[in-house]
Amino acid sequence: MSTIFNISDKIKLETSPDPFFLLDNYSGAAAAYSLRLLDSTYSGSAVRVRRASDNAEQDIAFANNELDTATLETFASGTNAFVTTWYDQSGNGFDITQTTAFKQPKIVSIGSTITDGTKPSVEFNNAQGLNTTANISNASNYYPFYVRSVAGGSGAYIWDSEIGRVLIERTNNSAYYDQTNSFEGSALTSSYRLIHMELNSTTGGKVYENGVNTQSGLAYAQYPMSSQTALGSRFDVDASYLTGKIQEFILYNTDQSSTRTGIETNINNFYSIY
Amino acid sequence: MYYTSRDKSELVAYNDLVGQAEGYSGTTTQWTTIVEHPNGTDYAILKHPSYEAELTLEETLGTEWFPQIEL
Repeated sequence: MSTIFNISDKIKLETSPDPFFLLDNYSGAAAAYSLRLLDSTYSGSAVRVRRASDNAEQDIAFANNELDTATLETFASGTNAFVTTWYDQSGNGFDITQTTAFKQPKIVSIGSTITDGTKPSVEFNNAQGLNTTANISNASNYYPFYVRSVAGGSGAYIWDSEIGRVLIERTNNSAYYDQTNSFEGSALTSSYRLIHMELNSTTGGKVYENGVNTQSGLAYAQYPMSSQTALGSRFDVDASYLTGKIQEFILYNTDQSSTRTGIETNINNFYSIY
Repeated sequence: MYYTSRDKSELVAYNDLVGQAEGYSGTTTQWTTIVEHPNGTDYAILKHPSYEAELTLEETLGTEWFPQIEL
């Protein structure tokens, strides 16, 4: 007679998160915009687009965890397509939108998906921006990671928030701005880069370009991000427009100094920037 | 190219007519936004490539329309 052991309550199997999905491995982003799938549990679309031919709009989701460019280009039907909404994958619902046609950044040009490096990208052409009126964060330290290239736009902003006025990268001359310290740091390299900043009121501001610490010892005072916040322009999408491309913008408002290299590796493994 | 006017309502009407003609739906609600000159009396709107109006047409707007903004 054999004895049957009930061991189901003794063994707990744990699976490691898939290293591809950035937010599975490094959770807690305040906002996250990307043209790749960042969270394996996210079931929404990447972007909503408007095609130039007849102004119809359609959500574009992911295929094999990347932007479904086949569906996108079929929808664009040989014309241009513009982003009306870039969906937030963080789970916080901070989608950024643009209701004015002329201010919508482009994602398809004459039927072909715009790229930077080898991956799809959103192109801003000195008059575009996407914003939200949601209150993204109370006064905090911030840890943004983003992939972008800058082609022009004098004094353009990558990310700007109205109340609290935290501004991330003014392209011609400053790393960031906060209401207490005004503009801090110097201009970043304009070409295709993975940028990360540590905006920490205790340890100071730091800038990393392609994983290398390029600026440090900068002053930072904590402020909220609320009222209007924009990607690619001033908060109200009425000035300081970027001429350049953005593929991914992920904002944390919790300390990521211990996870920085892991996040940067995840991003670079996908985009092959450096 | 831009249409200019001292009567903002003319430019609002142009923007509305372009929006109706283009049939924007979904997220998109209008063609563009009206630019206000810092003097407070002149206005401009970007001309849509497909639609004409009997308004004053300017090739471009001078820098005086867009004063340097520190922030």
